[in-house]
Amino acid sequence: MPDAGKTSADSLREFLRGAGGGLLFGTPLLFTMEMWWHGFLMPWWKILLLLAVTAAFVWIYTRVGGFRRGEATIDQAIDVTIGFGIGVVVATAMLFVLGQISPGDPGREIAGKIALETIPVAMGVSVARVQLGARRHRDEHEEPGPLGQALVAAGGAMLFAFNVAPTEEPMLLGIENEWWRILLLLVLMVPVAAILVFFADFQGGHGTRRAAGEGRSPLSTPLGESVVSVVAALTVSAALLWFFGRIGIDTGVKDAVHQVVTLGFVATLGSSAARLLV
Amino acid sequence: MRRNAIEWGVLGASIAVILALVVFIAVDGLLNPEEQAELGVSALPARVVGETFVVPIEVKNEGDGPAENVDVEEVLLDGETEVDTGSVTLPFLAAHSEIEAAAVFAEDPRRHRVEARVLGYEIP
Repeated sequence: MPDAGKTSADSLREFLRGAGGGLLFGTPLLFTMEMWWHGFLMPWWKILLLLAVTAAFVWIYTRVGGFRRGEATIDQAIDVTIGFGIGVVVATAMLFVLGQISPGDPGREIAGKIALETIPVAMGVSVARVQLGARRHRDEHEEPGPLGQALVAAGGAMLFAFNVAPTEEPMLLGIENEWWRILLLLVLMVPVAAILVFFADFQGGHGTRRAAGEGRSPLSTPLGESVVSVVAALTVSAALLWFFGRIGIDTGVKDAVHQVVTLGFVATLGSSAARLLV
Repeated sequence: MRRNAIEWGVLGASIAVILALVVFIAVDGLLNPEEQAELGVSALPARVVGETFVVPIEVKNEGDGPAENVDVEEVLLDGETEVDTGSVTLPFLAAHSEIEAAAVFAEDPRRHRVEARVLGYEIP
């Protein structure tokens, strides 16, 4: 955030933009009943772990993505903290307005709901503050290496798949669908990722020169990058499904794989979109 | 990096709310490691709604753990004979919370003894 000499008005605008972004990204999940239920159904340690993992992803996304590369680590940490602080306030206010928390409710239920809803809101706050402002802080000439790209892709997958992971649909689709549909979904992921990043000519896309893979490592070719995006998406999907209690060590391998692939398709869109943004 | 007073203020407030949230969840979780639901149900006075009779019930969870798919049954008894039964399923019941629900009967419950009980629930 703040450049040296930033005025109070600038800071206020930035925080308001963050709160607005938080609402923009968080509202779908603020209106999702499974998120309210997971607020008291999810074990306490999973909620805290998910908060920590998300904070790490937000930090990685802004740092590795190049948006805050010039800033000291402490400043980046301060920005992530403020993003989550705004997230807590926005999530609390919205849950109260929507009647999902009230003063007489059990403390654990209130805290669990706020903590879970803070996650998408805080991700939205961070994206809004670094990418939706009038000026983007990113050094346009720097591009993350293969590991950085994978981490950024995972961050995007997290941001996007989080909107669907708490709901029952990935579980139902994964369990009910035939194996060949799941396989089709899996096979579609790589071309979808490649089209989004390289061939659809979105702003921020890598264009046909990159598509040709000139002078690049195998991981920077369309196929390589797309595979990285898909692997990141599948990994994030598996983690999110575990967090929300959909898969575990007692889940059958087939059911688990089907669910991971189903949510993985959603996550792939996110991981690809993240690659567009960085 | 130079930060102004507003930014320091927001940072301080952010640390305070995040710490409060995290510490509360952690302390609550550590102090209540064996989270189990303790469900109780009581029937409230019956009401007449159109041509049916509604018996509201209050289902309370006084335990530290939540319950899922809570099946509650209400029975109208004439002595020991079951006259009519009604049931309701609650999708979730958080720890230390209560929900009001109702079962619907064709028989007038005011002429009978009403018993309500929890049949079962899933442990999330």
